[in-house]
Amino acid sequence: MCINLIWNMADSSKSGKPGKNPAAAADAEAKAKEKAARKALFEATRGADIAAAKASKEKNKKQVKKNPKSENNASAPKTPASKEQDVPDKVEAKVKANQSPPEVKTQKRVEGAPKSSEVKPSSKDKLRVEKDPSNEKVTPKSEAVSDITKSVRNLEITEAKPKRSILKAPSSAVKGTGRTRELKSQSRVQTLFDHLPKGVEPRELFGEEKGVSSEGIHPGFIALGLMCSHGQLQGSNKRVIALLNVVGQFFDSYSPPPEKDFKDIEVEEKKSEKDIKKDLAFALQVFREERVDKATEAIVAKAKAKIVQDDVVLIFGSSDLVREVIVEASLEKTFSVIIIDGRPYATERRSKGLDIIKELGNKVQIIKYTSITGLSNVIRSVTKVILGAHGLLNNGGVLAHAGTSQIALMAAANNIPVIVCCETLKFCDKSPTDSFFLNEIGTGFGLHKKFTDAMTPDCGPYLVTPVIKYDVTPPELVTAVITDVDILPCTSVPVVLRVQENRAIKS
Amino acid sequence: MGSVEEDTTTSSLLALEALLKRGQYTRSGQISLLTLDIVEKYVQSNCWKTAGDLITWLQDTAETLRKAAASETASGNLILRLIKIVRDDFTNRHRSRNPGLMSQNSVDSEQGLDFNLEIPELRSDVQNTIYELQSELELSAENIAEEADKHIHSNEVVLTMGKSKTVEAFLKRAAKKAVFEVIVAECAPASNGHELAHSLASSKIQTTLIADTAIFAMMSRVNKVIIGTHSVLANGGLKAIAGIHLVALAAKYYNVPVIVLVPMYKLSPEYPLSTDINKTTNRFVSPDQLLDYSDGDVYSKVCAYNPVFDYVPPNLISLFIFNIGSLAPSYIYRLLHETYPQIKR
Repeated sequence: MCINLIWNMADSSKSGKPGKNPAAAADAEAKAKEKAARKALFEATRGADIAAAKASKEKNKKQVKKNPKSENNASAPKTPASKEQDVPDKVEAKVKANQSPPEVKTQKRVEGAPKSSEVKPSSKDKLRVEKDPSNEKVTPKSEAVSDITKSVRNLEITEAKPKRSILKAPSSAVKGTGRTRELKSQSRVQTLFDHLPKGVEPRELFGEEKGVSSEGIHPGFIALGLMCSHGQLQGSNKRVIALLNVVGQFFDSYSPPPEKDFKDIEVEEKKSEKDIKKDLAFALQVFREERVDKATEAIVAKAKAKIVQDDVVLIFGSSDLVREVIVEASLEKTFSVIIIDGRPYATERRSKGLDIIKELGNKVQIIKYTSITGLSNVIRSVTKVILGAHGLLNNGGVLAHAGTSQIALMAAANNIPVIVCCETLKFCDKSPTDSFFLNEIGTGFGLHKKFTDAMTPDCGPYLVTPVIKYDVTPPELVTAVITDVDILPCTSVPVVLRVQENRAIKS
Repeated sequence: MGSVEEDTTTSSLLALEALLKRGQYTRSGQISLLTLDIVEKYVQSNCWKTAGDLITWLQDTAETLRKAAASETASGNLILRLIKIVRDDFTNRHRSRNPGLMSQNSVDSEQGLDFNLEIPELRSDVQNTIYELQSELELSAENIAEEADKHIHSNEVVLTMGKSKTVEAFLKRAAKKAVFEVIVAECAPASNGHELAHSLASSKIQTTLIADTAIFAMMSRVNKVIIGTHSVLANGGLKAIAGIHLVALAAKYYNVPVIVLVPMYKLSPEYPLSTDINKTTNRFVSPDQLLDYSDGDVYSKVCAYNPVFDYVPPNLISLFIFNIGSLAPSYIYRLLHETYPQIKR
């Protein structure tokens, strides 16, 4: 996600020449200031959740402990089947890392698409590309960032490719005498998730053998990436804000390479490095205020007006925004809240519903709480369903916490209005028609403890337990989306995106 | 006379009643077998002489068991079915004794009959019927599984939820002929889907266990939904384990056929009015699986619900597979008519 942002920034500043470095990107960015920052951040946000997923893509990585002194020591050796290359293909980098003083474990992952139209001469950048049978991992030096920039979008498209194989896979499921059962890798259902990164212990990603190096990557990004993949940083808004902070840190600490400085790169106006940094920081600040803080306020104001006296409001998941709406509305009206919870429940000691009850318990009048399986039992008494979202997709789909679509479906079946609260920041120009394309696979919840031991020998490859983190709610199940701009139908995404794009270009 | 026998019958009945009240049972099939045992004991005893006696006792017993656990209909259904059989047997015997009296045709003809007439052959007739029912109960899962080949084909993806013995047998039977994959929704908080997933995977069926929140996401790739149910209601709807409504709705959204496997004793003459089930015959169990008691302060702030059953309307169901054959939901009323007596319980 972080790298995405930087690259996108570079992209938006049109500094796609080989050899350009982040400074160049940043510098050009300074010119474009807010506009570019906005654009970049659109990109970043779109990719935010997905990026976190990507960040954990390499399940098989082993852990390498890094020298405490700097994260730049990470070596970039090879993966088993990989070759080192000097030529980057389409590249996309994902960074996650954990940085702790005594022992810094850092890692960075860069994935490239196999065939690239954008092959660049290796040049002085020493860009390292590691090819892996399935995914290429590339370790670019930071100076190569701009090269890579353009390919980010393409890459996101190519990412969908593995999914195609899903459709082919089944035909191979039966071989020979119909009695042959296929093993894990050929399972039709499992191939649905092949394109998604599996839950990874981040420290496993490091390592000389993995071709992963944190060289040239700001430690802030690495830390951020790790926090996302560890699940310590949940919720798209929190991720966006964290990203903005890290980008700010990056700008602060950046100093141009000796042979260049900001002024060399600066085209239109001559500014001191300090001024440029100030402008950048300001742009970030403005972005955050406008798109996150004010947007939240605007949505809360609109949404709380939609809750009327004696309403029964059903909420699901742990959206901060929805919680805020409920709390604000409860100051003015009396209504009851029904909280639906999905796994994990109390037995795993991490129940989201529990947090919500603790937070809302003293503020809201009556609270009912049940699991998603009990939904059918409470839905009849509900007058409104208010849901949060991770993203609103171009085709009107709502990308949200897994289970959201079922809530919306049940509500729609009972003719209960479904209201989604979503900042325009989260609008996204992708159009998946199912829940497999954009998703994250969490670490498995596994079987019940009583089966876990028996599972390995008995079930072996025949049993898998994927944890799907998001799903896509079809637009027809959603009554309205409350955004910072207005209350809209969820099919308005392309319009809003276009308007924003035009505005960004004009400014 | 018969006091000892009566005592044993009463004590087993009390035991069953206690079992039901305490909820110490896992499967309705188990309840049905126990009920049938008690009825068998009573039928063999000298406690009754006429069909009227027997029917009255059966009605009382059904009422007792219904009161013990309103949500558990299996034993009541079984007894109702027995009443119908006793009446039919009596009518047949009566008719063969007095051929001249019976001019009209069967079902309505019992109106004029005196059930207090003593017919010695009735005892053995009823006895035989009970044996038939017993073997039907024991074989129902297998009989239903016979249909498996017709419904599951190679390369299909089948989704089920929770754990049902009948579904388990069905899928395992199908796996003998076809290679398919099963997605099991865990059915939290009871999470007995884990058990099914484990059992299927141990039988080398490719199984994917998912959380209940992922049902809609997975449904787009599913070819068939195959579920068990707690009971089938008179309108063709289901009273099934909580969460099945979600599955059925998602299946409807994607136009995936929903096949319900039902042994006959699960057919209930109860006629629901949509949400009635929540107010009348649903069961709510301790929410300790949802909220931990150690978070005690939370309990003072919420009403935590942990319902056991869902009502699923008939329009979401494509097909019932009974042990006597496959039927559409719209045929259920007719099946009820054939299975249960016309009088009100």
